[in-house]
Amino acid sequence: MRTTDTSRLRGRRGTSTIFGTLIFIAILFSSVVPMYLYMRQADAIFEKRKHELNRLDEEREGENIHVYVFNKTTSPESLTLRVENWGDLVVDIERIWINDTCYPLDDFNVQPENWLEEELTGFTPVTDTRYFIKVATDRGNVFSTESGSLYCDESGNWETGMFTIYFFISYPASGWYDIDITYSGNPVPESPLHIHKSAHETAYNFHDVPTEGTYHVKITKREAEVIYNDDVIIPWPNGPTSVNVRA
Amino acid sequence: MVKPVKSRKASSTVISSMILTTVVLVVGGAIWFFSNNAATIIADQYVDGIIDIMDEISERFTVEIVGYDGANLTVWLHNYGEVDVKVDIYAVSGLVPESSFNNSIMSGELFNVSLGLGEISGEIVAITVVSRRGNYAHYRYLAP
Repeated sequence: MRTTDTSRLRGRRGTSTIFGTLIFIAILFSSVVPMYLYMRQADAIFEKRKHELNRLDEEREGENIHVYVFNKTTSPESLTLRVENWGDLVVDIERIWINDTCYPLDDFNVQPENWLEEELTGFTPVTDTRYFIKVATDRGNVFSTESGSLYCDESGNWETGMFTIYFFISYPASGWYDIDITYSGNPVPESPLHIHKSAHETAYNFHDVPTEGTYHVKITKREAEVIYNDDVIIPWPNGPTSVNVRA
Repeated sequence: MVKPVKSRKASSTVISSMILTTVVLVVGGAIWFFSNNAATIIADQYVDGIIDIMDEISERFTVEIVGYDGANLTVWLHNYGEVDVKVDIYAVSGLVPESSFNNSIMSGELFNVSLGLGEISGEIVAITVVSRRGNYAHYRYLAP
């Protein structure tokens, strides 16, 4: 009677199956898995980069500076740049533009809630000319002067048309505040100004005034006490075209 | 009569098993080699693609200022990103277009280019800067 040794056959067939399986596992662990891990690592680096860029963009958006240019002396050629940093980040001013001419600035870093001044040298104004002055930061922002353009008149005097009083109310009580602004005893146009303040934040607003000089500011918590009652001076042309009032 | 048959059967089984095993090893090895190379190439291409996209999203440039001297429009570009960029600049005033191609700007560099637009005083100029990676910056300028 013919017999077949099935156990032996199975054993031999199994050899190639085992080799095939081993090769499959080898391919899986030596090619597919490393490729997958490599791609995942690249994805992780990409995501990290995206977050970094988002952070940098947010920092750029968060730059908040106020730029003033004025002449402290009687010489029209002596201009002073003043940069006030109202934001939360250090701002590095790389250059100042006076019309189309660039003046690089070295190490002009303005700390948060601080200000810096720099004498603008090497600039000779031409009379009867209007100047647009801007500063550029290393984060790619460009800020114009708060006073708009500056005009050097025929006598060499600097003129500007925008004057502002900024108000910051950090008084604890929330609610409405009325701000009366007077000039030589007369209320300025659109005064009083009304500001609403929440319980935990500083309220902010500003008011454009017609000219430089001394203004009287009175801030009253509505239906309560006066929290500020003093003169403020816009020192133009010997200083900025604006003044801050903090109460 | 039975024994020789059994013996021949056994020989062919061994040989066929060896052949099958050899084929499995050869074909499997080839597939292994191929998949190794393919996986390396695919992974490299994927990473290259990721690096290209990272460069694309890393580009940061802006038109910082524009000046006009009565004949030429000068455009100042600031590359404030971390990668170098190559840009084409287009300026259109009315129906007069002017362009400048293939301008390389290093990271952190302030770059300027002059465009001969002629007499455009009082006109608005639309300026578009397009990088070779497909990013844009726009600026509108009123010529004095």
